[in-house]
Amino acid sequence: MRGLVSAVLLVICQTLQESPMNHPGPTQLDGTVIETQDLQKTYQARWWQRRGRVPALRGVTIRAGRGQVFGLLGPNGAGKTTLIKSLLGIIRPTSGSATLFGEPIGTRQSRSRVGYLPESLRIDRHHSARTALTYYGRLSHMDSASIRKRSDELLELVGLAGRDQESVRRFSKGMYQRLGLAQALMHDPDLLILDEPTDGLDPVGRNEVRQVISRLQSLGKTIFLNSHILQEVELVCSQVAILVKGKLRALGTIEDVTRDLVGAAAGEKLDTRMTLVCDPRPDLSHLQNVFASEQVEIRSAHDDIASSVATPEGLPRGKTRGPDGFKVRAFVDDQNAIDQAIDRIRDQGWSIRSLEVQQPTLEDTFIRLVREAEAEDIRDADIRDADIRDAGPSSPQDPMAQPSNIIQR
Amino acid sequence: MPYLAVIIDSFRAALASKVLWFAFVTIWLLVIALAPIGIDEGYTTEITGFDIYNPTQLKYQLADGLDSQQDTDRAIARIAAALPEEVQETLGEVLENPEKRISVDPMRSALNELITAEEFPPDWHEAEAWKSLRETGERLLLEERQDSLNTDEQQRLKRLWIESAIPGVFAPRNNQSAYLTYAWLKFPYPVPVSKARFANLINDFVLPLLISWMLGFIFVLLGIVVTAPIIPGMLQPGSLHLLLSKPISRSGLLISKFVGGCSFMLICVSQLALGMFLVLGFRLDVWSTGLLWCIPASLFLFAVFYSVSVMAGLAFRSEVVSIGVTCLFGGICFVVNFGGNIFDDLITSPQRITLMRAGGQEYFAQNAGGQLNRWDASSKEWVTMIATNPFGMDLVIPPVTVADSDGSTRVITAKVTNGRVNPMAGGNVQLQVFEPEGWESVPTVKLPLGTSSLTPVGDEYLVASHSTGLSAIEIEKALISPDETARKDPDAKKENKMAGFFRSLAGGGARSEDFKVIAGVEIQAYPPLRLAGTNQGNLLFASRDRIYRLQPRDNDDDKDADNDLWAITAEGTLPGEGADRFVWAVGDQYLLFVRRDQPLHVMSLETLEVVGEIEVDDSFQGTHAAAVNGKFYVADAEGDLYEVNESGGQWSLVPTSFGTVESIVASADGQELLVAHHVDRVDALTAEGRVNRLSPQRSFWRRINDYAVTPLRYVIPQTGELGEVVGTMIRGRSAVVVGGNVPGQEAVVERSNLVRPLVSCGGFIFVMMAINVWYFRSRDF
Repeated sequence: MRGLVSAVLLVICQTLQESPMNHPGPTQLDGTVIETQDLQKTYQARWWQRRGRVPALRGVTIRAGRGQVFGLLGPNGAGKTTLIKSLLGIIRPTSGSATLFGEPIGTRQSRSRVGYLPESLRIDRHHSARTALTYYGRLSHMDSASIRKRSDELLELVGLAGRDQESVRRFSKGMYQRLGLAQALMHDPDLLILDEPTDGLDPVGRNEVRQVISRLQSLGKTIFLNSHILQEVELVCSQVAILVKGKLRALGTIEDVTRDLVGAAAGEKLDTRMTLVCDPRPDLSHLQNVFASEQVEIRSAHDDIASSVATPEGLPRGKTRGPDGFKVRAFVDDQNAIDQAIDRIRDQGWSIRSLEVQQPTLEDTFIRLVREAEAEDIRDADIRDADIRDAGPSSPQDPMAQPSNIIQR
Repeated sequence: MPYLAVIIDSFRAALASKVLWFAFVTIWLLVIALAPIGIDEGYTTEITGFDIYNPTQLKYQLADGLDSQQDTDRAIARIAAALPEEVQETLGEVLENPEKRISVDPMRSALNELITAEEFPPDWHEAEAWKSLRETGERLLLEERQDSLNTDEQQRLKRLWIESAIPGVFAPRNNQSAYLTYAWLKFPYPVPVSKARFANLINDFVLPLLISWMLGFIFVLLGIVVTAPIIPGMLQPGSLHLLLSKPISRSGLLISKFVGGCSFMLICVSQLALGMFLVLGFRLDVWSTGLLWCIPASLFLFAVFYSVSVMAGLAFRSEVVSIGVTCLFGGICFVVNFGGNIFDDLITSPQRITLMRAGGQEYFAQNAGGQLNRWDASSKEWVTMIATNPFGMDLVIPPVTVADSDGSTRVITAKVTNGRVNPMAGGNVQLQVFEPEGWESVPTVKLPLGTSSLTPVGDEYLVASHSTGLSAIEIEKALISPDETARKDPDAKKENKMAGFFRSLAGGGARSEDFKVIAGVEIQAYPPLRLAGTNQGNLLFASRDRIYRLQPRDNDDDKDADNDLWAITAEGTLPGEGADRFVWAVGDQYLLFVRRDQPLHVMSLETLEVVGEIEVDDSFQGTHAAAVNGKFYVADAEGDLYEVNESGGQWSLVPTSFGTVESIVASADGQELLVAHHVDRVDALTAEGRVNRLSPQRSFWRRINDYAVTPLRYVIPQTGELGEVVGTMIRGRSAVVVGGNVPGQEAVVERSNLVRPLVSCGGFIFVMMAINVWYFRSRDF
C-alpha cells in the first residue's frame, strides 16, 4: 500500500502539471502569493468570560512567493492557526493587512485559488470518499464533468479508488488524511495551505507527502504548511517563519535563520572543535595563542566539552570524542582564523584527529527562540509591575511588541 | 451551484439520520394502517342519539300516543301501541306525572326496533303529515315501489313514517348515511351525513386536525431532533474551517444549511401528504388536492422552529442545547397562542354580533354568546338586555321589534333555559317584552312549548314556530302582561288545564292560552326552518325543502277553532338538500334563498318558484341575507358582503367594500342596510354610500386584547394558527360555519386569521435568519 501511495502521489504532480486548471494567476507575475503586513489579531472575550483580551497575532509581516514551500513553526498557542485562519478569511484580523494573490484576504476571489487541508479534518459521516470530493468540488465551483474526472484521478492517486463508495466512518486516520489531501487538490489550487499535513501518518506516509510537496513546488505551486515536526520542515521548506506568542521571531531560509542564531549567540565567532594529538599536551595559554582567541577550552579525549567555557546561554553542546589526544573547543572570528590556527598546529607537528565547525540546527534555533520569548515575558512582566508601582495603572505600550533581535527585516 | 450542493448535502445528512428513517417507517405504517379504511353509503335508517334534538317532545308525543291508543286514526297511537311493554310502562308514568324525567335511550331503542323489525306495518304514518314530509322525491319513490322495496328501503320508509308521526323531535339528517369500513369490517354506527358531505367533513375537520397535530407537533418535534446536529456539526473546526476556506459566502452557506435542514420536513410531509392523499382518494373517494398544500405550509411552520434551532446551534454549538432552546421557544409560542385563544373565546368572540334588529332609532343585537344587547347612544356602548353565559345552554329566542301605536319600539323575545340542548327544557316560557321606558322586560303571554323563532306578520300578528308547527297571536295581546290579560278576560286562565294536555302537546303544543295554531298537520316544523312576514301581510315559512305562503284568515265571524288555521296561498320546493342550513331575505317581489353548497336562488314571492340562479364559488358560504329597497345583500362566512344585481333577467353578485362582516339587517324604515362588522361595530350602507353608525367603546379587556395581546401575537409566531392555515388550504375555505340548522340558533362562523400567522411566522423567520446570518458573518470561528 505504501508503495502504491508513494507512486500515486508522485503521479499527482504529473497530473497537476497536465491539468487544464493549472492556470497562472495575474499576481504570479510579480511572484507574491501570500503577503501580510503588520497583521494583528486580538480575541475579545465575552462578557461572561474572565480571560480578557487575548492577543494572538502581534504584527506579523511575512511574504511567500510563488513556488515557495513556506513552513510556519511555533509552539502551541503561538498563533499559527490564527494566522492560517486569517489568511483563509475564517477570522478577521484586528489590524494590519494581508493578501492572497494580490486579493485582500476574506474575499471569495482570494480563496478560489487556495486548497486547504485542516488539521483535524472532519468530513460528515454520511459521505463516501467520492461524494465528499463531489461536494467539495461543487463548493469550489467545479462543474460535474470536471468533478468526475478529477475525482477519478485523485481517488486513484491517493489510493482510495477501490473504497470510494465506502462510508468515511470506516476510514482510518491515514485514509482520512489522504482524502483530505485529495479534496484540497480537487480544484487544482495555486496555493496549498496544509495544517499539520503529516499528522497521523507513518514515516513512509510522511515521506510520500514530502515528495508530493516537492513535486508541487516544482510545478510552481506555493505551499504554506504548518508542522510541529521540525526535521520535516527542514527537509521540505525553502522558507520558514517562527511564531512565538503571536510574534514573528524568525523569518527567512533555514540557513538564514540558523546563521542568525549563531551570530546572535556568539558575537560573530565560529564554534570550532578539534581533537588534537601531541605530546606533551600544551597549556591553555599556548592554545589561546594558536587559536588567537581567549575563548578556548581543553578536555581529555574521553570527556565531553563541558560548559566551563563562557558560551552564550542556550548554545548547543558538541559531542566529539576521540580515543587519544585531547579536545579543544575554541571560538574564533572567522574561517580565516581557523585556517591560520590549522597552519600553526601543523607547524608545531601536532596531528589533527578531527575538526568540526559546529552549526546550530533548526530545532536549536526554535528552542532558543521560545526560551528567549519566555524570558522576555518574564522581563516584561517585571517591567510592567514596576511601571504600575511607579507610574500608575495605565501603560499604553504593549511590551510584547518589542522588536526581536533575531528577526531580520 | 455551490449553495445547491450545500442544500443537497444537508438533505443527504438528514437522510442519514436514524430518527428520520424511524419517522419514515412510522409514516408508512400509518398510511398502511389507514389504507383499509373505506366508506359505504346507505339509507339513514337508525335513529342515533344525535338525531333527537327535542327529547322532551318525544316523551310527550309517545305518552300522548299511548294515552290515545283507541284513536287508531292517529299514527302516533299506532306507534305507541307497538312499543315494548317496558317502554309503555315508563310512558305510563309520564302520563301520571308529566314532569317525570325519563331516559331517551329506551324510547330511541324501541323506535329502532320498530324500524328493523321484519314486519312492515303500512299504517304508521300520518297521512296528511306524510304528504308534507320533506324530500318529496324520496317519499314518492319509496311509495311507488312500496311492494318491491328491499330491506334497507323498507327500514328507510319506516323511519320516515316515524319522523312524520312524531314531528318536532328529530334533527335534520340526510337521507343517506355514510358507514366507515375497515377492510371487511363495517363500523356499527353510521356517520349521519351523505358520502359527498362526508368528504367535506373530512376536509373541514378531520384532515386539518390530523395534519395540524401530525405536522404542527409530532413532525416539528421530530424535525427539531433530526436537524439539531446540522449547525453544531458544521461548526466543528475541521468541518467549518474547510467550508469557510471555499470560495462561497458565509450568508449563502448558512442559508443553504437552513434550507437543507428544512428538507427533513419536506421529505416527511411529502410522504405523509401523498400517502394520505392516495388513501383518501382511492379508499374514500375524497380527492383532496388541498392536502398537498400542507407540504409548503408545514415547511413554513418548521422553518420558524428551525430558525431558532439554528440560532441556538450557532450560539452554543450543541445539539442538545439547540433542542432544548427550540422546545422552550415552542412552549412560549404555545402559551401566547393559548392566551390569545382564551381572549378570542372569552372576550372577542362572544361579543360578535350574529343578529341585529332595528326599530326606529334604536338598535338591538344578539351576539355569539347568545346575549341580547341594546345600543345606548349616550354611553356609546352595547348595554345588556338579557344576559347569558357564553358557554351556557340557555337560548334567547331571536328578538323581533314591533312599532307601538305611538311609534315607539318594543322588543319581543324570550329566554329558554337550557334551550340550546332541549327546546322544551324550559317548559312554557313567557314572552318578554321590553318597553322603551327603561328597557325593563315585562313577561307577557306564555309561548308554545319548544318555540324557537318569532316573526311579526304585518302589524297584526306575531307568529311563533315551535316543535310541532306554527302558532300566532295578535301583537296587541302579546304585549299585554298576564295581569292585564286576566283583568281583561277573567275566564282565560281557567281554560286549558290538564285536560287534553298531552293532546295539546302532540297537536302543536301551541294551544296555550293565547297562541293559536295557524298551520295544520300538513305543515310540519322540521328543521332547518325559517319564517318571515312579507310586506303584503303574509307569512312565509320554509322547512327543509318545502316553502309555504300563508295568509291570515279573516275569522271574525267564525269562532270555530279550525278557522284559526291560516290559508296556504302558495307552496313550493326549495333547492338543495333539505337537511342543509339556509338563510334567506324576503323582498317585495322576490325571495333570495341561500343554501349551503348551492347556487344562490331568487324565487318569486308570487309563485314560490325559482326565477333566477347565481353561481358561486365552492368557498362561498352565505351566512346572512337582507333585502333593502328591493335589493338583496348577502354576506358570506369569510366576512365579505355582496350586492345582488339584476340585469335583463340575469342575476349576479357584486362585492362591496365591507369586510369582516358579522351580520346584516335592513334598517327599521327599510331604506338602508345595517352592517355589523369587526365584532360589534355597525355601519350603514345608504344611497350615499357607507356611513358609520355605531362605534362602541371597547371594554377594558377588549383594549387589553387589542393593544397588548394582539400585537404580541404578531411578534411571537402563531404556529398554532399556522395549523389552521393548513386546514384552510385543505378545505379551501378560511371560515367554517358550525350549526345554524337547529331552530333559534344562528350559525356560528369560525374564521381563520390567515394573515396573522403568515405575517408573524414569516416576519419571525426573516428576523431570526437575519440575526443568524449577521452573527455567522461577524463572528470568528
